[in-house]
Amino acid sequence: MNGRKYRLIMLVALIVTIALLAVAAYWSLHRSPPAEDYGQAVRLLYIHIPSAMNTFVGFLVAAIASAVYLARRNEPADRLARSAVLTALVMATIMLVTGMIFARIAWSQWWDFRSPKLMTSLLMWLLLVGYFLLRNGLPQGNRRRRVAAAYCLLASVVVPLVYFSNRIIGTDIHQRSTTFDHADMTMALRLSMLAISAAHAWLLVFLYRLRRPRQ
Amino acid sequence: MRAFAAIFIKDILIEMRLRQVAPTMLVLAVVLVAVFGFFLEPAGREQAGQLSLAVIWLAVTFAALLAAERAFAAERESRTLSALLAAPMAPAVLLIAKCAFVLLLLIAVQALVAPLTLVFFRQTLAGPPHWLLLAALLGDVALALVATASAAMVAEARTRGPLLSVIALPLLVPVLLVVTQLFAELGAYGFSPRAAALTGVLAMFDVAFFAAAALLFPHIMEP
Repeated sequence: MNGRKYRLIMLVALIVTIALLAVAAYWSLHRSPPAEDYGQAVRLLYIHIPSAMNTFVGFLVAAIASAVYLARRNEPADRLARSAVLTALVMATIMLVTGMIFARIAWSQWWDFRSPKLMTSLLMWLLLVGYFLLRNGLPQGNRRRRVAAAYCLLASVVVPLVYFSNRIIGTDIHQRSTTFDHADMTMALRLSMLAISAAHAWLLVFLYRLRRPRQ
Repeated sequence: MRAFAAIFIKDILIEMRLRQVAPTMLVLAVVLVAVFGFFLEPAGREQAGQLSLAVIWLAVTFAALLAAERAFAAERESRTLSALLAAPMAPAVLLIAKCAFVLLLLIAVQALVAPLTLVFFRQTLAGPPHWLLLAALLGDVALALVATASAAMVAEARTRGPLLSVIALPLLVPVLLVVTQLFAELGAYGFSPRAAALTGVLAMFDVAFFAAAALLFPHIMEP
């Protein structure tokens, strides 16, 4: 794809994403009623749940791209993995911040180390940060790419194990699943999911393209 | 098998002659236990049981990271790592040999530090001895595997030590949580269904880490 065509597609995608975010914000802040049990804090969930889902998606994309890089040693796969880890880190940070604020309002505590979901989220965030520290700490070259890919895959093995083991250890303050009893609340969540996923995808493509080697 | 034995015995002989790692590991573990003790003593007797287990495993974890870091750094400094990688053997053999060496040091340090910690915290280790040994061994294997694989990753980094802690500790936290919970469970109720589940999870960690490390190690060490 030539530069001009790419820029045009990205501009259109950006306008659509901003429009989606605006509609989602309107539905989340205006149309959605406050929840019976969490009150106005429910509006945080419209950001928290989609960002959590997108963190996992980003991690998954990074793990698959890392596996492809190790199998084929092609630079675009490494670039995709690096971009996906960065977008996953952004999403994970949003998830943690909104989750902590929600926890303070709904459960009167910022954090609970016994919760499997909270522990998994924090460890995932630390693993994503660790990826960049490892990458930046190694000398430039193919070895850096290979080691970063290996760490990403090792981390992706740990994440499901962490969640599974914490379910045996912990007592979860976090709800197993979130259901809304009002149609506008469900719609607000769906729109937020769509808008935040679109923003995530746009950012991923943007970073992937931005880091391509110059000819 | 011969390649594994040769590397493993070489590391033991070097350590016996130079005493580079084991004394530092032991002193580090004792210092950590003492430091934790100073801060945790006011927590009271009720929580001391659980805390002493956490202190033992944290001290052993930092000792394992130190041993793993030196295992590869020493090869790099003496410029023997490339020769080992060029030797006619699977790269995973090098990982397993290094891991076995770290595990050996880890068990030796743990055997000395665990009783000391229990004495400091005025605790006794309760539970069926063979299950406690199995739990300790499973935990040690996971620690040694992650520490060794992570040390191989940071072998060429400028700041190896701090970087190793940063990348290995998030991978090890779940193992430490499970193993301390397992010890607490065995101490309180003996071999219960929950203890069986925790032992299963710990074994699962070992298998997953071993498979991942063995598959990824050739890529990590490729020149």
